Amino acid sequence: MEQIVEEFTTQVPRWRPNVEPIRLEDATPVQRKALEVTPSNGPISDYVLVLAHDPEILIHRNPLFNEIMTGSEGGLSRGERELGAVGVSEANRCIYCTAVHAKRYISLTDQAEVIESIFQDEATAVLPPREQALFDYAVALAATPPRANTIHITSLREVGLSDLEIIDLTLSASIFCWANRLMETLGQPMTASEE
Amino acid sequence: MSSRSLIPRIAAVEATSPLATALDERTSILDLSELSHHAVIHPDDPGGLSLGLRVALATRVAATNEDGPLTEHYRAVLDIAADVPPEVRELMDPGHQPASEAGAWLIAVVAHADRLTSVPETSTATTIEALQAAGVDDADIVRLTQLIGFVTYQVRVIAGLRLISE
Repeated sequence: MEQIVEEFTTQVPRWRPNVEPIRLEDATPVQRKALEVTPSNGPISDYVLVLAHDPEILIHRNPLFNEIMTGSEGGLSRGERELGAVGVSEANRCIYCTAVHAKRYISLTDQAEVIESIFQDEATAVLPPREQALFDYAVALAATPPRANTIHITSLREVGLSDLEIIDLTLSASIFCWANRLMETLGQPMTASEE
Repeated sequence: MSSRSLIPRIAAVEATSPLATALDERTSILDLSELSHHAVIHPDDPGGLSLGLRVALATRVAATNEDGPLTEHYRAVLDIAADVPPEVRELMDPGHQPASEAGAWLIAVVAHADRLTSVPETSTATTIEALQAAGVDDADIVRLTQLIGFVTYQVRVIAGLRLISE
């Protein structure tokens, strides 16, 4: 029996759509074009088939997402971009996004203990100084209205971030404020059925 | 495109500043953000979400996030948009809720826009079923979610750029 996953985990849940995905065989030429680039260049999932209901934004959003998280050169490391994604996804309680990007963060940085602290204490997690500065900024930016302030920026500069690196962190945190709103409303994170 | 694109313009990034130099390395991201903005505000196929409704909701999201310059930008776009009925125009103010005469469809769309803006984590399968029951079709649910999602992204990139330049 499938159940909704309520707790943070690095076991990626199955995403069950709340609206009907389009059928690939019925896709219009515009929809087919929009499906040519997928998030993180993964397979065509139910998630992208749901988003294909609005191909005009999808055709730009997938390349934007990929450029922010992995494509753009220099600046913040890929692992630390993932930490921005995790901070925001935790703050917005998006179980699915948190699982995917916590797992990716660990594989890129080998810092499982950072994720363990975040899962245990959430926004009040105590982390090493550099990770703390990145995480606190991402969490503050996720609030509505955003609570990020110049103290956060000072902390980021103190741990060595350049303007370009702070821009990259801002972009990864911000694109997840968008991604979380898609993932946690257009579908639900489900446990894989035990058979 | 990037130097004139909306995000650095609203964030008031000065052309010769160190921040502008750093942003020059992220031109493709600013360009894709601008194309995304166009796709959610001025799509070729707007579905059930008219230009007026899109801009009114974008204004509402910017105002809820207390971004004065972005709110003013969308308000100005709304001011020159033609044929926007008063019950749609009024939605630019987050304090305003549609009256019952506005109909179940608009009431459901605005309620979901507000949830997406401020408390997306409270959305469940039942929330989406309620939208469908009010006559909002699946494609419009996706269009609405992308519109609100985009503006929440835009607000935060602008907020970050302002903080870096302070």
